[in-house]
Amino acid sequence: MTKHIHPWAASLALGVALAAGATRAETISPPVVTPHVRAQLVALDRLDDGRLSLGLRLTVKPGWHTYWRNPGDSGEPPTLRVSAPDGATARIIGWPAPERIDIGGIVSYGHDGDVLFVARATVPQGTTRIEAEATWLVCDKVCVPEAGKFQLDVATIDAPAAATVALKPVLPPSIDATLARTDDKLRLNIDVTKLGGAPVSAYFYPYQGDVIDHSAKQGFRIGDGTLALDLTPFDVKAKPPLELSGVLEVEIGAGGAKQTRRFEVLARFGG
Amino acid sequence: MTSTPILTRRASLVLAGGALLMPTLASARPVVAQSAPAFSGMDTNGKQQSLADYKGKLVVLEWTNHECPYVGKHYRSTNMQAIQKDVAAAGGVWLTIISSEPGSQGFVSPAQANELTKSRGAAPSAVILDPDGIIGRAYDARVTPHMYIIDPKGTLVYMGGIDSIRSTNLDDVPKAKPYVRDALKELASGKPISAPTTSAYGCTIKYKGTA
Repeated sequence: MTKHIHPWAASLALGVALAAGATRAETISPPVVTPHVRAQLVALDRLDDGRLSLGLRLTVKPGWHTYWRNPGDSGEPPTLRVSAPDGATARIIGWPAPERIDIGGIVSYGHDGDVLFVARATVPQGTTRIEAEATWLVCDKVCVPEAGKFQLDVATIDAPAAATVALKPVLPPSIDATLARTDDKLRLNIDVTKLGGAPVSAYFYPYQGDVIDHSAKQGFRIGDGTLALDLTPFDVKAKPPLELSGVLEVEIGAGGAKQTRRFEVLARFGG
Repeated sequence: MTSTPILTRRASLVLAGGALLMPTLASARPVVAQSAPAFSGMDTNGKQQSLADYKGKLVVLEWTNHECPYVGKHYRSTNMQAIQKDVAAAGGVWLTIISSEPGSQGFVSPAQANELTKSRGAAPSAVILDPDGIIGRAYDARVTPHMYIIDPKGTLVYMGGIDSIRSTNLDDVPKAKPYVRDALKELASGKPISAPTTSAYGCTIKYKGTA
């Protein structure tokens, strides 16, 4: 995730610049400003099939965070709903790379700073303006549910600003893996050549919230060119899943050359 | 009185031999169909509450933090109070547990806790203050609300969420699959609980030492 030093302050400054009459560089809603978040809805694109690509941009106060699609052991992901025109629908499909938020050993998955959630919206033909409602939970040690209503003119969609484009979540390259049950763990086995090298650390963020224990340590081992990552099942008595998908985050290299890489992993049982 | 005053005031997890177990984090989670971890703690009326005292009765444990919006959803909708009353009417025991450390969100004095019970029309059998987080850690309670059901034999039969919709929206209460209600119904009719372990959702518990 790209880190800005003061995204909160920077976006406020941008707001001021816009208010002062700077050229409008993208199709963007007026901001909703809450005590913890500055939120905007951005029209990113109109797809060939007429659907809209929308971005919900949440710029969160330092020390506070929002949540990933699987929020881990607490919290909840943001939602976006197009309320007008009638018949329009929207769903968030693009999620920023998650980070672990560990509060006293209870681990949640989320984001700090400035993030963009990308949604696909289906709107009636000829729609020139949409109204949308978003909800998000923002937490530091305490949690506050917030919501915003947005109005966005989509008659013509200008190219998003460079700062918005930079925030667009990137779907990481997809790799496959195998899943095995070992004693009381679920083991992900991944060929390290698919990762571009042997990682020095690894963490798996599952898409589903009820498959592994998010707060349990993930046992990491490399042998015979395979990364084995031991996950603790959420319910030790449940039958292991046939498939497990999510985002694998690995660190490769050492010292200054250390790199973080992410992969979308689809693991199948036995393989 | 020979025991140290700290132990008499604070919740303690008592083993059969009387030793004090300080559970470490990520220690074994309690497992459904096994004995529920024993505990005792002081309630808001100054009475010692021990799980062992309730052998022969159904016991529901509810972790709470009245300032958490997910807890607010279930009290403002009166969903939580309704389940509490049903459990009481069926002769069960409802223990509400507050594991927020002093100075953190949800921490209350005994008087404040009793006032909250009154003002919200709640009907727990007792509210236990667990400011050291000992009972919470023993049950691996992670969020508020986090719910547990212990059968009359002392076996943990349910742990997880109050219901299935992870939101702070009151309108979702009637739409959700009511896990705790369903489990109680199944227990009462002697059926196996169809979803004995579910995902709890809510606010992270503000345990001691988590700064």
